Amino acid sequence: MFQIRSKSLKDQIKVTIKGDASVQNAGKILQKLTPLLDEGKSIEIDTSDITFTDLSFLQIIGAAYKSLYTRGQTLRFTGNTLSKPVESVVLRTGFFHSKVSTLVPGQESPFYALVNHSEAG
Amino acid sequence: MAKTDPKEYYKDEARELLENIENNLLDLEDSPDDDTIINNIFRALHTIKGSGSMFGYEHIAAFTHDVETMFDKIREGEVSASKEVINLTLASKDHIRSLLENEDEFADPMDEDTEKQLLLRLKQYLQKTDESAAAAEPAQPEGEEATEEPQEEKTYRIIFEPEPDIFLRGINPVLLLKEIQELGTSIIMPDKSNIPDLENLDPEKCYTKWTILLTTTAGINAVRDVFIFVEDYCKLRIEIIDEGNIDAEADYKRIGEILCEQGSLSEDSIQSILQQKPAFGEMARQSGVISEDDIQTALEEQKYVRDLRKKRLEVSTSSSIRVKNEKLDELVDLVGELVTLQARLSKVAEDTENSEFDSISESFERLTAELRDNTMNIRMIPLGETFRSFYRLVRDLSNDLGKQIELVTLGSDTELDKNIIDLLKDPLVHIIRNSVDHGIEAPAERTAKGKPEKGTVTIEAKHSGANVLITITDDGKGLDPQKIRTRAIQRGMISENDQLTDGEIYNLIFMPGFSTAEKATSVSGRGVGMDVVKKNIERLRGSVEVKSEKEKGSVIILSIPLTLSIIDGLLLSVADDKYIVNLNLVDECFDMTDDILHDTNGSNIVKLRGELIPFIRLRELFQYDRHKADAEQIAVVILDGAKIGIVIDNILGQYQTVIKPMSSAFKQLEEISGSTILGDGSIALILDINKLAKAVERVKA
Repeated sequence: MFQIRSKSLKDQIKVTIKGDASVQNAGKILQKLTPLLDEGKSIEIDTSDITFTDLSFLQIIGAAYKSLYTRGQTLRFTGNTLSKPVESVVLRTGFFHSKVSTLVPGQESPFYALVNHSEAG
Repeated sequence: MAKTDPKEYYKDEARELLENIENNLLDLEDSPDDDTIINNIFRALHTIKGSGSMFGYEHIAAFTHDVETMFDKIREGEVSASKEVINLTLASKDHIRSLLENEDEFADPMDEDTEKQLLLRLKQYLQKTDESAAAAEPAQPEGEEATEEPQEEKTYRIIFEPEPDIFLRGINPVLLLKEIQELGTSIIMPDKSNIPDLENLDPEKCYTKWTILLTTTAGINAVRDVFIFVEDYCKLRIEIIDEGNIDAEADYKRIGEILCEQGSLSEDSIQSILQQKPAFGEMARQSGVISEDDIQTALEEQKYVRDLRKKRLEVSTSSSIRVKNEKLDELVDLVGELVTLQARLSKVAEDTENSEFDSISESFERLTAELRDNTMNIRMIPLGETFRSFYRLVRDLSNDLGKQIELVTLGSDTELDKNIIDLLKDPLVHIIRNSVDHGIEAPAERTAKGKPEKGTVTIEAKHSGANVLITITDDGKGLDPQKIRTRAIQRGMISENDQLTDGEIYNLIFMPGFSTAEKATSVSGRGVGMDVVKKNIERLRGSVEVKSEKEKGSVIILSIPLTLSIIDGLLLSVADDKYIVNLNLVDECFDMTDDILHDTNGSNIVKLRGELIPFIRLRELFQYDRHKADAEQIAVVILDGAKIGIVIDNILGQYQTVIKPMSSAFKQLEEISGSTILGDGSIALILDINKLAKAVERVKA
């Protein structure tokens, strides 16, 4: 059962995604996230209840990170951790790989620090 | 020479893999999220299954399949490596081992029930995860095993650029990347630079492309096959960037060359950048022609291949082959025969006055000694493997007994003859079981005594002359001399009037049938134990000693000879008989003259350069009834740091000694541990220095 919810707090917006965060629900995730960009707050995403995901989700996260950066905001994950299914896709796709991200040149990749993998060094 | 049966080869490999699985599972318990460990276990299970099926072990293959599937789920993050999963896998590993040893069949009808139980538990796990992953990935068709002949390890650069609408075609690139990763060692480097900002993102489009470096034994076709269903919907380039040759230069291409090959940069751009001078990567970055990811990818490739080649060079100089134990035993036997023959040759050369013959005999002796040392070295293996198996033992016993115990192993790289290690395992298991069961207290008892809840058992190995000392220490309650004494009196081993030191009392635990455990447990049994341990260690020509301090713990010290087959000996004579002492233990030799005899009212002590050394006369010890020799000599040996003298008639010289089992006629002579055949066909007896030292103690007392 897919679910996405957001809660606007004082200085950030907390987004909780549950269930299948794959391409089947990518449109819904995008629809929910896009208007949040203009609230002028950083976004925190809770992935702990995501049971399945794929590359489309990582691309959405990358794009959101890019958009927030141009607005002077950041994107982070709750507790600086990813749920197992998300981490597995990050590892498979190598998204953690480069320390410096091309999403926003010169900035640290949002995934790098999360997947503290020895190869990432 | 008999050919090795391929099935035997499979069994050897599977045994090794099962050991690895067990070791990795124990490591996984401490680091349940370590992907390297999880992958190691998965790969080992996969090999056991795949090869099992190939060699006709269908039962093993079928059972292992379910365990492998569970580990695949762990790799995918769908199941966590909980204690329950680890216990289940350990039990499954034991079951596979049992099937392996019984040619794919149940050793016992009960095993069928064990298997049913295990399969049920495995299925429950798989079902649970399938239900929770309601929107599971489309099932990947069961991958056919690669039919290509195994090849040399090669490194491929794969550039994979899916078309933007690949998701809509139902293709999941993550699964393709997963398949690639399963082929070998890889680095997956995505180029994310085309991902737009969120406002311009089409969530159903693929914006990512990859450069993958893959090192594998699979051929290029097997690598290409991964992409077989998507070839029409992606740009794909697969090139070999390293052929796996040992003689390949350790150095690898420059960054500019790599960038050009990866298609990130044209030859013209390279030239124009190069004209600007210093470090290429930095200049290329500044010029803005290429992205940060391109540079990172090229640097990564350069480092990957350089590291790979360096590692290969190291491995090529230390590569190994697998040899059957029996073949090594055969080789050692043959070397033994050769050494005996060489002794005869030396003897004949000595008796024949022919200088050329002498010279050939000497060269032959030198070569034989070298061959002997090399052969013996082949059989020397580190104790580490054996020590590692005790982690499982201590873990399982602690769980059964509700105790918390840490096992510490030291000196794992200490080497011993493989045959000795094999015979040593059972006594060590027994000693550790005793420490865990009777030594270490339950957590509550430890806390009450002000000790940490967790007890420690330490097993340490180190060299000491021609022996290896293995010490097993625990910080438990120690031996209770009073309890042991009472028990010994009850069993009639000693009488109430016997005055014994604590050390002598502790040694009573090595007497047959002795046990102080108030209740027998399934862990260390019913008093069948330490006497058997002692017998087994003595069969190895070793010795065992126990020390203990009440409430502080116990120490068991095993002294084991480095080898059981051939040693460098010193040949001694008493009357017409010959004796051998291990040359590694000999410190120096002297003529036994009156001026070195220390006057201590008849005690056997010599004074050498101010040092007092107790000695023993073999003539007296072995009760020769003939008169004392006209002249005597003394060989001083060092045992555990202490010197003792052995007085004999003559020291005849160095002698390569092939140790033969003792004839039953000499079994009652405690101080003799074996025999050897001399060049003239006569027999020499090998002295057991540990026992001689005890005899010296007795004489002193």
